[in-house]
Amino acid sequence: MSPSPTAHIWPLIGVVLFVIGSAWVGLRAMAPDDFGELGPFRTSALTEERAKEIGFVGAETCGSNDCHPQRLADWTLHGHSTVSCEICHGMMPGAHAALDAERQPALAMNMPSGDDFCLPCHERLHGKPSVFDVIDIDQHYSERRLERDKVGCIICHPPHWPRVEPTGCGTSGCHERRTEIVHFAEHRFVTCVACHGVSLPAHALLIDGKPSLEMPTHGQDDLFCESCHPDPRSLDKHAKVLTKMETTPCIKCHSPHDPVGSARIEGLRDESARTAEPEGEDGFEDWEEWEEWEEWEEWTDG
Amino acid sequence: MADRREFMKITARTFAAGLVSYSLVLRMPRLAKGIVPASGAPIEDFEEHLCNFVVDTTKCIGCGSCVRSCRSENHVPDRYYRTWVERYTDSEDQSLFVDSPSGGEHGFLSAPRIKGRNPKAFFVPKLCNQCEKPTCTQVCPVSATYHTPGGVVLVDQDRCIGCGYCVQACPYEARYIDHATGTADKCTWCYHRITSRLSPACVLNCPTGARSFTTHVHGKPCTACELLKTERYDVLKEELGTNPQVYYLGFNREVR
Repeated sequence: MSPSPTAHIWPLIGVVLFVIGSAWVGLRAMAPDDFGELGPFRTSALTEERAKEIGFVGAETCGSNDCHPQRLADWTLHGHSTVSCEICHGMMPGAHAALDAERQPALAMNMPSGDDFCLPCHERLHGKPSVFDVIDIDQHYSERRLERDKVGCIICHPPHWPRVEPTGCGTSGCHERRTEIVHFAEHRFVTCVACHGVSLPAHALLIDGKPSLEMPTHGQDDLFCESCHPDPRSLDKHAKVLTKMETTPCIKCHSPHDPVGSARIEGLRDESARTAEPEGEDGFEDWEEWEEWEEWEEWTDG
Repeated sequence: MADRREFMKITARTFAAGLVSYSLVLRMPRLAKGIVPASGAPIEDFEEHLCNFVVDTTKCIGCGSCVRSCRSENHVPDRYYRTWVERYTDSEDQSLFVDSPSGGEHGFLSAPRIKGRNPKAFFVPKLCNQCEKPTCTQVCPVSATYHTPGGVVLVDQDRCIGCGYCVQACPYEARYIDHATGTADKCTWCYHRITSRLSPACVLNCPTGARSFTTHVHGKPCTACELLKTERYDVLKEELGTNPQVYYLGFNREVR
């Protein structure tokens, strides 16, 4: 009796089944419990991914809970309204929101400083969209006769209200004439807000025709001027008036809104400048400048 | 012969018994409890959404805010990038110049090699495209990287063995091996944020709105879809068939 022609197949099939079966059991035993429920992955991996700590909270959160509501209200109105708080102030971990007994945050927010912080966005660079506010930094400073290491960007451009054009103040019949004067004067590059502080929406809200919040007036002392114009006594133009400067504040001779034009009135410019530039008899270039000076004198005397 | 037959019988019985007991004892509890997410988190809700990531390159100013934000939010180690910004410059002699110093993290400088005063140039933010047919998940030998039903590709840090196949497979160079953990890592579109109805960190902190992220429920109105109906857009390396999900507005044909 010859052996069955298929006899040798069965052990082979047995071995193959054994290998497949062991692999299946091994895989099942080693795979995590929740593997393959929603797809070829652990379901708990999704949960772990979701549970990661959230870092950036967004401007709305900064303005809530009585923390920075006024800042949020300003921010939404002005030039940097698309720049979220945390772009400049950095990611605030929970420690910032945790207040101590005096309602001070346990961790202070980052305060960016230096022009290097502003320049990645605002320096002229090929590749930037033409509609974006960019400057050539050296030209920007030389045109304004300012020194980079002495006058930082934020002196003229308060970060929460960075636009120089005083359009906000000069509209709605509020300070139209003032902004016109400033527009033609040496300080035309300085925002209203840079000196007067952030004119909050509360200032623009009129009650009985008067602002509900008075505009702060800075610049009463020389120190304020010297933040942009350091060491004024060393200037040649001031050589004749050094003794007078000891007792007279800067703003007595230099109306902040037209600092150079107003200086002519006192005859404080040196003779070469006087002869080089034709002027009217009274030292004013135009009637508007005279008006401005009158207004200024009234204000300082008052 | 008798010994071998006996051996085969014993082996087969042992194997069958092991199989049955394993199925009954170890696997039955899991089969009984069905498909339940481990923590009971509302996964179903998010999985019903579709994510839309649109990058408007005409608005990008190359400030690097997105790169810095991503690093803070996701604790990305130094010199590694989940997102980065490239600048493409077409000079006068028609040669293409691409630069991305430090991934654009600290902004850009005027490129000295450019001829011509006003070369055509534009910035292109890059990030994981969360492909519909990702190559990275296909090559992973341990199923550590996967495509979620919501459309985001994630890495399971517990399973990843750090072999780096996915890093090589990604045509967009969006992945890296984090040498601190020894695992692959990549942009998740801030999965922990978008599942909490927050924007990804790079979108939140883009000062010009060049990046936008929205989600919409299947079959419901979708702002990004409406935008793509009216605007000209493109995706990166469409010819590879990965179906990338980041839509770019306003870049040139040179971008790869």
